[in-house]
Amino acid sequence: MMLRSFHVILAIVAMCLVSSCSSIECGIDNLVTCVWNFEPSVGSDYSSIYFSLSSRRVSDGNDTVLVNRKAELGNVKLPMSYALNADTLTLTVERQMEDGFIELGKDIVIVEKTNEPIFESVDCSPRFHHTIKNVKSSHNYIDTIEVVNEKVLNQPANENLRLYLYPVK
Amino acid sequence: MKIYAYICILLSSLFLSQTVYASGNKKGEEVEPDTVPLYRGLSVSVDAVGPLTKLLGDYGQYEAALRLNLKDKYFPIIELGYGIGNHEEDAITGLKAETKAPYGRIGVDYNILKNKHDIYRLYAGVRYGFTSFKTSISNNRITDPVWGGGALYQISDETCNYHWGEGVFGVDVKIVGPFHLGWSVRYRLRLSSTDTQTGAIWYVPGYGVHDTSNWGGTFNLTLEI
Repeated sequence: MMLRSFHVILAIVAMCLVSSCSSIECGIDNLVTCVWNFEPSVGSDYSSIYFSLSSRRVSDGNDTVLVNRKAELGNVKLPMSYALNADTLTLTVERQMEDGFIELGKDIVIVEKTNEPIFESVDCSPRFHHTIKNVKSSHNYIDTIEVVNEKVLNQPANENLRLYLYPVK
Repeated sequence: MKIYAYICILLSSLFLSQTVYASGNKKGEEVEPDTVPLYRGLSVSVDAVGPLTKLLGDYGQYEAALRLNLKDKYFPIIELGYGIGNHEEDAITGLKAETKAPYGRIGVDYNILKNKHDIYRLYAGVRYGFTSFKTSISNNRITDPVWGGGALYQISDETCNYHWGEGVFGVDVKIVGPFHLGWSVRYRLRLSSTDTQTGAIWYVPGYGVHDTSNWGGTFNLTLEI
């Protein structure tokens, strides 16, 4: 009889443990960014040239500065929109003078992509991955844009887009 | 989860030492040939843990089993159930998830007590489980912090097939007449599952939460037929 009671008590304890224990294991790398690599024109001097990238918010039309006066060419990591089928960014080229900056010109870059919802756990923040379908741009300072890696994930590739630039006069 | 597993193993070990001592033969006694017939009957049981976990949490299952008794030694078993998972809008992540589907397990238990015909039985067994289900996940609260505006996060009816194996350790005790009570502790291992593009596998009916519910248990109310 005591042994039977022991079974019942043990089962009740086990049931409580089953329903009470849980753990949360979310990835720490949750940021999804697109890597742009700027390739300078061979022989050009970019020492006093600065590049800025901005996007336009769909909710209020204001500009959001994503990269502010980057001095050295190379990689930048940019967020992509969650819901838009195409992201439009403005590349602004400036030259630093003695008394400030003067704007040399702008290029518009349009990145067409897909938005794929990704689920990890109900306890982890949701995120979107993207697949780049096409890239278009104006050609004031951008020669060509190459899609090196079309997958934009939470673990950034070495580069997704490679931008070849014209010489800056 | 690891602490819970260690506690279950410890409690099970303590219990095992008591029951084996209670039902073993003395050394030196002559072993009489076993003359009981091969077929010893059927039993049906229902699990009480599944409905309780559903009541206390987001998911659970309703499960019944049919067990065949062969010589009080081997117990082939079929377990059938219906699992339901419903996670209401999460206060932190805003995610809502829903899964419901039937599942089945087939396996065999072996009575590891020396006296096979005692009113107590100590089982060690294995199971193969399978289910096919659809998951729906949504979030109505996502706003884009950089580009502005809302975003629709919706994964609808993502289909998945799930196969798993279980190692079972359990007890069955005759209470009165044909009525038995028992419990089991199980370790589950995923064997294979469908790869989904969105990764949308949350609750797996009959298994638990995908890739985290390795340990589980049942409390069985059994009727011998």
